[in-house]
Amino acid sequence: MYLDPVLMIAVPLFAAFLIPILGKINKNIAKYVPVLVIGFNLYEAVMLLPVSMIKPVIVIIAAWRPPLGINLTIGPLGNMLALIISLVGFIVSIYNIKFVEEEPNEKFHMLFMLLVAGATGMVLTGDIFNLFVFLEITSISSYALTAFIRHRDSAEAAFKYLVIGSISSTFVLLGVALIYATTGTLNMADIAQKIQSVDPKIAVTAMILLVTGFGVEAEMFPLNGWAPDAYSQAPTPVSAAFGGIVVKAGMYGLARLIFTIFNFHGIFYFLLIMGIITLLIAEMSALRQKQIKRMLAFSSIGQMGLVMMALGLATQEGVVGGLFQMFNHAIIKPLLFLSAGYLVFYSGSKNIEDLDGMGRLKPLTSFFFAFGAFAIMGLPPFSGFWSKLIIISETIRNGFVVLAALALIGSVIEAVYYLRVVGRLYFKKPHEGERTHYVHPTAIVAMTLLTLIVLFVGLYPDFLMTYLKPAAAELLNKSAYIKDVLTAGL
Amino acid sequence: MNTIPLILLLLFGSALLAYFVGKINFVLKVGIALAGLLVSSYFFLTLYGLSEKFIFHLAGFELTWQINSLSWFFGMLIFGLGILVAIYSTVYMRGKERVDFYCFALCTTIASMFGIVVSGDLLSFFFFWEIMTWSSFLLVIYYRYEAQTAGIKYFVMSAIGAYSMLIAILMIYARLGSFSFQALSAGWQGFSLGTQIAIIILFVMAFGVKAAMMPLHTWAPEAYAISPSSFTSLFSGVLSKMGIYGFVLLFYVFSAGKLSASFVDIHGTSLPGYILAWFGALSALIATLIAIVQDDAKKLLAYSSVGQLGYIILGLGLGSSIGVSGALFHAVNHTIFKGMLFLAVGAVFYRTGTRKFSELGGLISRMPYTFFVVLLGIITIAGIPPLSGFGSKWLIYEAIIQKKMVFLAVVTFAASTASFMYCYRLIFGIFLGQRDEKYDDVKEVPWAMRGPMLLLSLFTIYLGFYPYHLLNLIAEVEKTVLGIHPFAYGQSVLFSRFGSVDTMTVMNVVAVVFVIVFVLFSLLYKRSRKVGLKDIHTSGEIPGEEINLHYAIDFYQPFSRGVGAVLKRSADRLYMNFASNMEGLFDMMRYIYTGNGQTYVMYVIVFLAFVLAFSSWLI
Amino acid sequence: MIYYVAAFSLILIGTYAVLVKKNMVKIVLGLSLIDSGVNILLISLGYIKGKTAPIFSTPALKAQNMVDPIPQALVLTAIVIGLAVTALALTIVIRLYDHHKTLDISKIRELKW
Repeated sequence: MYLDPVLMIAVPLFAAFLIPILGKINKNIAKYVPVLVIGFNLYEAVMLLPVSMIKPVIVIIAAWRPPLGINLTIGPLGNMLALIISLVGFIVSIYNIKFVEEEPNEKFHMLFMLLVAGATGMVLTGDIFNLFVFLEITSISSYALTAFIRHRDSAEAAFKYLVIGSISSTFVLLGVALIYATTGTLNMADIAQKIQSVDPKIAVTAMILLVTGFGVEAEMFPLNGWAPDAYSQAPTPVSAAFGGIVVKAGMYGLARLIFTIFNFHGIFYFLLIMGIITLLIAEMSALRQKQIKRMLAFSSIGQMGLVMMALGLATQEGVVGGLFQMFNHAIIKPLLFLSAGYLVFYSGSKNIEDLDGMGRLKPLTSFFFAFGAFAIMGLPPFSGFWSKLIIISETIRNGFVVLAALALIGSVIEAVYYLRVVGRLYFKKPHEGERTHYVHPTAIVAMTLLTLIVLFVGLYPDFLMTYLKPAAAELLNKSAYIKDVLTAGL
Repeated sequence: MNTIPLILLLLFGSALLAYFVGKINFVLKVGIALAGLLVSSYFFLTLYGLSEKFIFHLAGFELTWQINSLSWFFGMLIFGLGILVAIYSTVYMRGKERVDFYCFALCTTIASMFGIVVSGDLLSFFFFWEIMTWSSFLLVIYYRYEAQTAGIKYFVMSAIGAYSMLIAILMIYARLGSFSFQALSAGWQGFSLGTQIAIIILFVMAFGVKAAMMPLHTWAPEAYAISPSSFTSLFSGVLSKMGIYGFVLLFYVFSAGKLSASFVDIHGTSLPGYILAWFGALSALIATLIAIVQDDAKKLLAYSSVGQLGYIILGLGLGSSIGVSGALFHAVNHTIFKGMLFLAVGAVFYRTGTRKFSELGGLISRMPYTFFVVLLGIITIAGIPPLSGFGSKWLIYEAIIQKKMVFLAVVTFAASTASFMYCYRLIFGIFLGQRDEKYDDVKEVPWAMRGPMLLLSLFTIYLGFYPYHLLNLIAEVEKTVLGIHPFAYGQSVLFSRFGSVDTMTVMNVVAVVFVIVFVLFSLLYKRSRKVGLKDIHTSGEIPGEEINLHYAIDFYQPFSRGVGAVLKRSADRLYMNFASNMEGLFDMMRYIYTGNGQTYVMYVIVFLAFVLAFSSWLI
Repeated sequence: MIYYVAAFSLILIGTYAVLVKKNMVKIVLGLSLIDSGVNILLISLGYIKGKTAPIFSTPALKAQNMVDPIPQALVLTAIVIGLAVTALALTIVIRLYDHHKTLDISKIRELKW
């Protein structure tokens, strides 16, 4: 039985600000709060799933029925994404228990919880201004988390991220203002209904402003300048959370805008082309990176390009493929980041060169990294295979054979640079030098969980597909969405 | 329960079990792997002659696993050599590190190959194909340090092949809405000519890479040379056959033999088949020439493998019953003799630690069994009666002659003749000539390694006597699956229009001659004088430093000088140059990310302005 | 109308500062300016000349005589967010200055390519 879905946002927010107080009492309690709270979110998301699959759960706050008031709209899509976010958040917070030993410890957990709360809010809300607010909560906590390590590069990365991020959120706000000025409403379903009668020139301007704003979080080229720096300089769990949480929420915003709110078909072609450009440029840039986390960041951008391409197809199967790829990326990229971060931590250097011979020194972690690399390349029987297969299949079915071929070229490049790193882990002789001998059982638990999910989904994709299909249908069938929201509470 | 999933489950299960439980001790890991193989091959044998189907749904796609005579035929090769290799590994891998990893990858490879042959649809075919690629990649990189470049090259070429196959598969799916072979063969003729050509080219890319067809072979020599010998025999013997299996599917199952409906015929062969035949023939010739000048025994065998697979591809391309039978027969022979030879070279490596001819020599008295195996192997490879290699080559020649393809015949005969040279080099370099003192106390390998090699030798002798046992099987495949009317053959007679050859007679003649010579030799032996290996006569002169006394160094020097110019043009170097140039080009991309925050903001603003300027296109 | 002009000129000036000025404090100021511009824009969307605040203090007041309250609520939120961003940005600038001893953004580009 599920509790009020508002708690999915309220509890992390409340707990986030409770942590500093708890930290005053006992330092150790603060560590376990995120696990419990995000675990609660996970429980909620799982329990909501069967309900929202049948009919979206509309939460009316303070008896203001939509289109008035702020409401949460938990359809299959929002629920799936909330599930992804809380799943990744949960696993990463398990990893955090031991990994984040640096001071100020509580602040890290607080910001992390804010990040999860913001992202969950983004995917659950039914109100466009609320979407903006949660976007800001997510990004501000991301900026702060990027700068968390007191290192000159972290501050630099955070500043770049902040400048790009706040410019883009200004665009979002402008877009929202434009929409409000023309439709007089902030409820997304209501906007979707009323936008038909708005001058298309104004509507398309609003859409472009919003797409640019969310495109920054969704790592669309050329808006993704922040990503390589932020991913590589943030603490490892935060990099994992970027890949698994922030980007997913941004992509959700993008998808919700172009599918539900606006009604322009040209944007889908645009997304298709931007997707393939993003994919290719990112994969090419990743090819000769020297730092492992930077390489993973580019790989992450590339994966999001694939998702954009899939969403740009705007067919049921294509969107299912895109969402599937989002899920896979949300699981596999944290696995890669967590294992790479662990190796970086162990070797004391971020450079790929210094990871030589880690397969011998840290067999289990290296195995996790290699496993993740195989999974993200899309090899069977891991989960990445199915999503790539569906996306490429749907691309070809829609007649874009050249795009499919280009995406596969990207995959070949991906294979090259991942195998190079895996090769270094296993085939080079380890360097001499000081190593920190430090075992984190919780890190191993987190990575094992991710590995098991990858394997399970890879062997039995239908389990996930049953939930992704309604989610894709929700995006494609906007009139049902409008009807569900506007008749809620009657 | 259905048998096919049971076998697959057993194989994959034993792979995982060998990995995890096998951490305990050596016997357990190899034991589990071997037991899994034996049990599953028992189930496999029960499938003989049946045609089972197992249909299920996964991720919204309908998948079919089926067994028919064709898949049984290739399954037989997989399990036959697989078990022998596993037995051989019990000794060969002993004392090596990461045996659990080896067992895991070996079982997974075998399982995925079996998965390929029982796939009844393109998707599961591709699924298992990819598993086969990465699991064999894991085995190629088993010896860590040296193997990295070879491994990545193998993987990347396989990936390019696999992805082009994926495009072809999905093109078919987009048109037919189904992955199954049946739907494909029914719908093949509905495709436009352009589509047919694209599909054939894309599939040939994939299968050509795995079957090491020239010019897609460049991964093979290094990957073969670097992988553990026990696996190499499986790699060359069976895994490359998956490419052959793919060609069989492409030309006779997917297109249901209707290729000539849309393409011109040349000498009674459809154009794609004709081109393929030429690719095969040229592979055979060029690879043979390159094989001759190799110093590394495994590289020699690798190139020889490329050449022999060329014959098989040639036979398949010709398309007549006799050609296809020859190809399938040769496929079996190739599995047997390449299995034997790689295992034998592995055995030599096991005892001496080297594979270089220039360091070996004179091992005949130390490793007589291995010598015997290599002798039989090269007789088979050269296609000399009475062993089985003769039959298959005979059929392929016969097919070429029947089609009156003069040039093809010339190339093929040249290749065949040239292959004697590397055969001789192989046996001479290792077993004849002078022996280095450090190998004086080399012993024969243990029985667990000798056994598989000798068993394979028995097979080649047996098939030399009774080729019709195998031909029956092939005829069955042609009748039921390939839709080809099998040609006529007798109990032990191979017909051709110039006459026939009775393998029985040949074998008897050889046996009689052998016995006579043997008896004569034994009688006269007492009067001969024994000469030591090092007893080299230099006509009274004292040999200087510059005089080469080890025969295996600069073996075939005049030949190398003669063909050296041709061999310099290597496809490998071409690809590597192309790859590094592309990499340099791709690498320019990352300079977009200048590191200046303001530039990134500029990108955002420019992007916004640009899209706003063209916003009318979005409406 | 004047509000719109003011709003857009603020946004443009802010964008100019972010794009052209090398000093990071000025960039942060530019971000703040953009923020203020958008806030003014939002407020002016709901503002109707001659109408009163949307509070039903006396029964005589009718809804059609009031300005739109929602933009004001939105702007309040946006101001708070802007404040948070500015504060965080300045913190990071201080830290950058500590490390690099410069405020020139074009000199701080250790992370590139």
